[in-house]
Amino acid sequence: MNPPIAAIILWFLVPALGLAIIFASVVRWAGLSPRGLGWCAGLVLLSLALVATPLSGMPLARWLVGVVDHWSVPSMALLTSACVQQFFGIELLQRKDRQVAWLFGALAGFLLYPLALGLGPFDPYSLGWHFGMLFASVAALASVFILRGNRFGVVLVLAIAAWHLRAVESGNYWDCLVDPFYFLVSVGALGLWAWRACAKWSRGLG
Amino acid sequence: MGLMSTTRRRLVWIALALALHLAPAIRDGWHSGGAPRVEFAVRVAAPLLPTGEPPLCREEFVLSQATTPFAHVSSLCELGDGRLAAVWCGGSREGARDVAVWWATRGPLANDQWSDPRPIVTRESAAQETFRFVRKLGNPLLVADKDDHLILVYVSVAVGGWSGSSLNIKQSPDGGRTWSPSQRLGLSPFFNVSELVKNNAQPLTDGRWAVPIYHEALGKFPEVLWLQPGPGRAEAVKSRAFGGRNAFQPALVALAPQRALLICRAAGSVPEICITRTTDAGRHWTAPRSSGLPNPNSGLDALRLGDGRLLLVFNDSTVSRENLRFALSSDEGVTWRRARTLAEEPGAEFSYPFLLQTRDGLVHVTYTWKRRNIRHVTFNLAWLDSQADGKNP
Repeated sequence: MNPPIAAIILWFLVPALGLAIIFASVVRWAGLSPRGLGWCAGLVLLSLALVATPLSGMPLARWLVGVVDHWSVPSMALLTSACVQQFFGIELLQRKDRQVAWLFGALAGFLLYPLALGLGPFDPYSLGWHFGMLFASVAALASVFILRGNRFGVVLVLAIAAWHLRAVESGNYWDCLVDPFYFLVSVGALGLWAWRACAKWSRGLG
Repeated sequence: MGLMSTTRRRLVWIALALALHLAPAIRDGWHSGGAPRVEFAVRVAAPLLPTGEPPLCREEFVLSQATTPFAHVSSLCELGDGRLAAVWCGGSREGARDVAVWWATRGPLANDQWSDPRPIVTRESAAQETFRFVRKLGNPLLVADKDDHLILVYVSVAVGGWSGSSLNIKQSPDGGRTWSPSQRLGLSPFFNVSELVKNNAQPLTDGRWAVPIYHEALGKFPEVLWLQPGPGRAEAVKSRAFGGRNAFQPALVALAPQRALLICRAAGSVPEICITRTTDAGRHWTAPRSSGLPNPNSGLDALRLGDGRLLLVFNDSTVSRENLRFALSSDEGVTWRRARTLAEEPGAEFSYPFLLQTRDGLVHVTYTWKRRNIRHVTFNLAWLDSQADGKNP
């Protein structure tokens, strides 16, 4: 009856990766260079230990998931990519992949959340329980991204694999594709990108 | 050579993307969202014959002494041995951290008493079992599946008020002696919030249950939870009856394998009970229509009696919860006739009724009595029919 093991792994791993990136930034700010397997293992393990630390009898990760409910696969992929870049200098997801990820997160959230929360008669969340339009659309999107060499397509393949492995408790495919945290960060990242583009354009005019 | 290798790699990923996305089609076929294809399991109505049975009505409190200062939102079911089981929320006050889901049983004989209540879900046990922070507990619903298998659906909240609610279930294989750990149901994509339950479930012919639930975030509207209980994890999907902000907390009444009503509490500016219908077992619902009966934004319940009539219990007012009244419909909810008054006292609150007809034909109703106790009333149809005030809506 307990949550699926794949879901529990995501609950702990996603915040741990986020914390590891923050720790690495602090270390860099302190004048050190957190590169290599040693730093990676050390900081990720430290983060895992922190999110597993009981606070009033319950690990921090479980407090967090009590609020956010689930973590999506793109969240996991973006954090993993940031970690690998931080510690090994390898870009698993390149700039263009990340831009598509932000665009996908923002569009999916804007399409899903208002309608699912009751703005209008149609509930797009119901498309995620069984095969139908959502599955076919994401299959097509993933194929186009992969064909064009965009690695976010591979992230979408991992998302459907996670759905098969029941990595989200609900069993709804939407929950593998997007979570509120990923949506908000996507909107923020796109906003920042747009602001920078505008600033660059106005400098060009000047 | 490198280009060939890149192309081959991409084709492999595309094949994987297509295979993994399309594989569920083999099992499920194409779904356009909404309710699954099901049929309601409906008893054949037996016409009411005069039996000469004397009117019977018995009233009692479920809590013989004040176990908790606050008691609210009860639910009933009949166990395999004919006993009744009840669950409700009890604690120091509504929404308090000490509110638990309580359980009690009662034998079938007239002089049997309700057992001493015991908590079956606390905030702490819910948090432990669902692996999450739980701030408070809310509405429980008890459903008797076959062979003394029970299903408890209950509300929990991590953050915010009742619009931050999520649903959880526990199952008992032995009529409530032991319970499985709670399972959180993921029914909403945004922090899994705003799904609540109050009224009874309807059995489906394939062993699943249709549970009337409701949403109250940006909208307030009724939904149906299609629940497949099981010894491991229960499977649940949901579908929306209609959108808007005017009607929620539905009672689901199945009329035939494909036909059913959702009778809803008023939430908007029109204080009237409204009704929506399906003729394809929940795949589509009509626009909600007024029943002609008032509702002060308060809980109600309804069921289809063994003789085919519909019985509704509701607060017969547009502004207060000072009374609870029955209404009957002989034409599947098109028109209603007021019947007996269940409770009435100026300034008091009687609310959140729950109806059940047991195998012996008796009808049971429990309701919140002044937010301090749960009142249980047992009656037969002779009592129900012996006094109708004739005041049509």
